[in-house]
Amino acid sequence: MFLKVVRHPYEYSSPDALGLLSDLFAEPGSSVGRDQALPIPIDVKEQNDHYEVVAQLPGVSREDLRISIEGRTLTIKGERKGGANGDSAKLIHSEIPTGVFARSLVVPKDVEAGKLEARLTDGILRLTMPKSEQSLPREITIR
Amino acid sequence: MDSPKDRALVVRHVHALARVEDSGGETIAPAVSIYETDEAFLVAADMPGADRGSIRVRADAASLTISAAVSGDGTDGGREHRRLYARQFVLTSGIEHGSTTAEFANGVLTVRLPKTADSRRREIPVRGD
Repeated sequence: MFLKVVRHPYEYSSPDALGLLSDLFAEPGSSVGRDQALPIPIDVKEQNDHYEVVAQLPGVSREDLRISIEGRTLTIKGERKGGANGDSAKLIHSEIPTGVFARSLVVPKDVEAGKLEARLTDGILRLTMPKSEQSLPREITIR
Repeated sequence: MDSPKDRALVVRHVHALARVEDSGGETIAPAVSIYETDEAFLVAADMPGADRGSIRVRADAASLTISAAVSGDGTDGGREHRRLYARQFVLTSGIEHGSTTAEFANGVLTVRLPKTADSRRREIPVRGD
C-alpha cells in the first residue's frame, strides 16, 4: 500500500568525502522509532563562507517544525499532518505519508553554531550555517 | 455501498503523464493524495519549491492537468538544468470542472474539483404515516 513508509536511500552527491557531515539518523532519547519516522531527503552544499542544508518538507507548517542544535548535533524534527478540509474529507487515494519525522546531523567543526539560520519557504527548508572567521581562507600580505 | 474503492473510480489518475510543452528538462510526477467530501474532490500534490508564477492547473470535462517549474534551480554547478512538476488525471462525469479552484501552501498544491449537483450525496426523505 501507498501508506507504508519506504525508507529513502540517503544519497548525497558528495558523500562525506570531506568529512563534513555524518548522518546519525537515530536521535538520542527520542521516542521517534526508526520505522515510524518519515524520511527527510536532504542536500548539503558548501560555499566559501557557509554550508547550506536543503530539505524538502512539503505540507509541513512552520509551527510543526523544530530545529535545535546541541553541541555539534543538529536536529530537524516535526510532523506532517494529514487531512484536508477538516475531518469531513475522506482519504480515497494516498501516496503522501504523514506523521512525525526526525533527522540529526553532525555539523562541521568550522561552523559557528550560534549563527545558524533556518528558512521554510514553499515546502523547502534552507539551513544556513556560516563558517567561523578563523576557518575562512585569508590572503597573507607579503612584505 | 459507498466504499472508497467505488468512489475512487470517479477520479482515476494517469500515472505517467508528463508531456509539458517546452520542457527540455527533467519532469517529476508529484506524489498526490486525493480526498473526498460531500461537495468536492480535493487533489493534494507535493510540489516543494514550485515557482508560484509557473503553476498551471487545467481542467476540462475529461482531465485535470497540473504543472509547475521548480524554482531556484537555475544553474547547478554551472550547468543549467530545469525541472518541472507535471501530472495528469482522468476525470469521469460528475465533476463541475468549470468551477475548479486551486491553492498553493507549504509546497502543496491543492485542487478542488466540485461535484455536480447530480453527483452529490442526497438524503432521501422517508415518508410514511
